[in-house]
Amino acid sequence: MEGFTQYLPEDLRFDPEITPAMVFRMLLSKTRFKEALELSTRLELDVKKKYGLLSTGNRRKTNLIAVEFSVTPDSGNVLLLDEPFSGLDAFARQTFEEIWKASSANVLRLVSCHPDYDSMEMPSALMIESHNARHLNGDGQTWSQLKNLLN
Amino acid sequence: MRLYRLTLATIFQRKAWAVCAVAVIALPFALPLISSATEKPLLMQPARIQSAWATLWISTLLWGLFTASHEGENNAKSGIGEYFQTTGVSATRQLFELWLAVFSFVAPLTLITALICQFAATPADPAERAMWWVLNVQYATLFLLVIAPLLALATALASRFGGITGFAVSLGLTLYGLYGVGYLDNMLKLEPNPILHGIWLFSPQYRFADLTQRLYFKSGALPPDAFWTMILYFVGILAVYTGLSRICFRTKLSA
Repeated sequence: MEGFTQYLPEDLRFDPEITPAMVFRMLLSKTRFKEALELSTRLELDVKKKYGLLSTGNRRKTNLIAVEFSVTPDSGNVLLLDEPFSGLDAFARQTFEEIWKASSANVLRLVSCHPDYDSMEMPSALMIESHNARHLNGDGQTWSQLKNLLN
Repeated sequence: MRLYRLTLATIFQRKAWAVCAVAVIALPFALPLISSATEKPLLMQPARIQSAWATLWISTLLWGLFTASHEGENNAKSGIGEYFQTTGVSATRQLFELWLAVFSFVAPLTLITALICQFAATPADPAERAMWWVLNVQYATLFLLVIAPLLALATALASRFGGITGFAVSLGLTLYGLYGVGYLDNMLKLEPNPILHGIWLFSPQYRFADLTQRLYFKSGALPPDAFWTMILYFVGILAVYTGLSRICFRTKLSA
């Protein structure tokens, strides 16, 4: 079975002297590079600014764009993302969530993150407690309910 | 080769290579003008040879080894090595790609130096001129064969022990091989010592790869037998250093 795995650590950082445009050019194919630049424009990421001068959120955007556009469209992909949304604005989060939905057919994403708010919906959750693992599902299930089970 | 491309772009963007390039191109012409060669034109070409190769050695030992160390440390500390490992790029492959990126800058500097020697310091005597390009090729080959494994060693050591250690150890080893073993050899001639002799035997004899004096005194090309023996010797060192580098190299900091 063919596939491509990527793990994006939370603290991944490129050289401070390099620009996001150079990162994308070096890591992505020509067509994916153009798409990455288009998304950068939408997300208001200045691709000509040095990576070391970018804000935390913009560094995160650079990392996420580089990884998201590195997925291979012709095969299965596994993407492990550690705190991908920390420091990101709401619009950027929404944009990445849309990308995730659009590519869910060939990309399995395992995301490690802290829930943002108690009413956050979690229709499917795996709860690991002591030596037991339980799969909890339900349409109206929220982070608040799951949290109560953990306490 | 994504890591190679990324590292190459990073080194390019840092621009310190440009200082080395300017030094390697300009100093062989500028330095003889402020030396005693101005009073004796006969010395102009030897002065150019000496400044050309000395600039290359200094540039490579300072900038090349520092850059190799920096990239090795950065790869392990920044999470880039960990990321590439998850994409299937093994530690061996990462070491190779990092090394190749630095080597891609050192090799052209060597070529420029050899070309300056070839075309801007050619001897007037036809017999000497015939041997000139052979000696230049021999020197450039030996130089690259000496430097290549040291760059890998600097990268690997820096990835495990930090940039300062990677740079200092590889630089110290090179200086010892270039000058230290010569002093040790002289000491042993004056006063034999079996322990020091053993150390000397296992020391990297980089001084053999420094053919500046041979160019300077127009001693002619190395005989083929001697040249191939030296190639074999330095390939042996390359094999040892490659093994050591691979053992030392790591793609991420230990938890």
